[in-house]
Amino acid sequence: MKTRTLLTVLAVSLLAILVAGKALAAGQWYWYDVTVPKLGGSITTYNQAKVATGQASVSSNLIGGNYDLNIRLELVDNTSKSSWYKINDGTFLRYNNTATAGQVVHMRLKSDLTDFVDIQANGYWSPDNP
Amino acid sequence: MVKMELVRAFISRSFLLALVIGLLSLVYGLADYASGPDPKDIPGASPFLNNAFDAFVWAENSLFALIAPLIAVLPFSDSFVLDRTYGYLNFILARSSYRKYLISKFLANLLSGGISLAIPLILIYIYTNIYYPRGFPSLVEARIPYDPMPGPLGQLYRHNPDMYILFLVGLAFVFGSVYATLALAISSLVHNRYVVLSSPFLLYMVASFILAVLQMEIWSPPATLTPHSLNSTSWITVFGELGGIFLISSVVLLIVARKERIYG
Repeated sequence: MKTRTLLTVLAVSLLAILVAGKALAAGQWYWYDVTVPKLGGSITTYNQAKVATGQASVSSNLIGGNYDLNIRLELVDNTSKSSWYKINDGTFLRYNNTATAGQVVHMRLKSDLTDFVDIQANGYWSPDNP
Repeated sequence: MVKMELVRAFISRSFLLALVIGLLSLVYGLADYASGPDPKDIPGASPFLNNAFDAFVWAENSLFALIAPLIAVLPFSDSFVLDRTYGYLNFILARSSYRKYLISKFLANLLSGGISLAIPLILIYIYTNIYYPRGFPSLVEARIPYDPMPGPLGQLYRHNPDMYILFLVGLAFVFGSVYATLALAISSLVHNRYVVLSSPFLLYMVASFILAVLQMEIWSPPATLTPHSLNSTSWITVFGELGGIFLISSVVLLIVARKERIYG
């Protein structure tokens, strides 16, 4: 009887950890591989629905040449939902924003006005905090 | 003679115009920095998300960095052409030597070019310090998440930002002086003031494009004004390039602008 109770408590605890973990690590990563136009031009990732209200994330893998880029979160109609942030090769960023759960968003990538060639960039982004 | 040239360079509509254009271009960059939701409306955002230091860096690395050569040459770089065209040079030479005149012009042009870039930057830094908090969020939340910042003295940015920004203002002064000197050297070769005023900017743009295509962007001219905008800039890429342009311009000016050549 004692063993059964113990096993039940253990199973319930494990389930609780899994559920809580899933809630905390909401959303998933999406791969982006884009060419950002030169001279302050910009491009967006595909649209994705935000699972939970809270931080968005980006894990930049590679940005061409010696350049860096600017990113921000936007709604489908291009309304900005976060400030601009700089990213570089290997930058990992969790950024606060005003988008809420259920809203469909994308990440915009923008070059600087002094970047004279198109810039290749790839990595993972998420509208949430996986 | 020096005093007279300095007065002509600084007490002029062209100098004022350079300051206004410089300020407006910085305001454009600042507007880009401030775009998006107010940090107070962003749940969980650090009170230092927008701050005086990032705002300055963002403002400088925008339209200002693109048109800086145009601003630097505006105050006085076409004066050598105008002095020759309107015969003003003859009146000056009746009272002073050509050598003194040329040295005075060289110094006044160099100073006005440098100061026309430095003053707008100082004013905008005063503004960002009044309007934004002085402090940084943690690196994972920062809008410029680099420590150290790329380029010379980048390690100062997060630890002594005032010193780093002072360095950037000083660098802008040197940059302005160099491009103003380049324009003065060009003005000894041509007689059209518009060619003199536009040539440094056109050279700046063409060189930037060619070097970027050749994947030698760390030598790109804008990186000598905002060395933090590219990953691998160094003291050599910044001051080597500015020093080279200054040296070549000064030599051209010394050789081409000799009195006997100017008077044909």
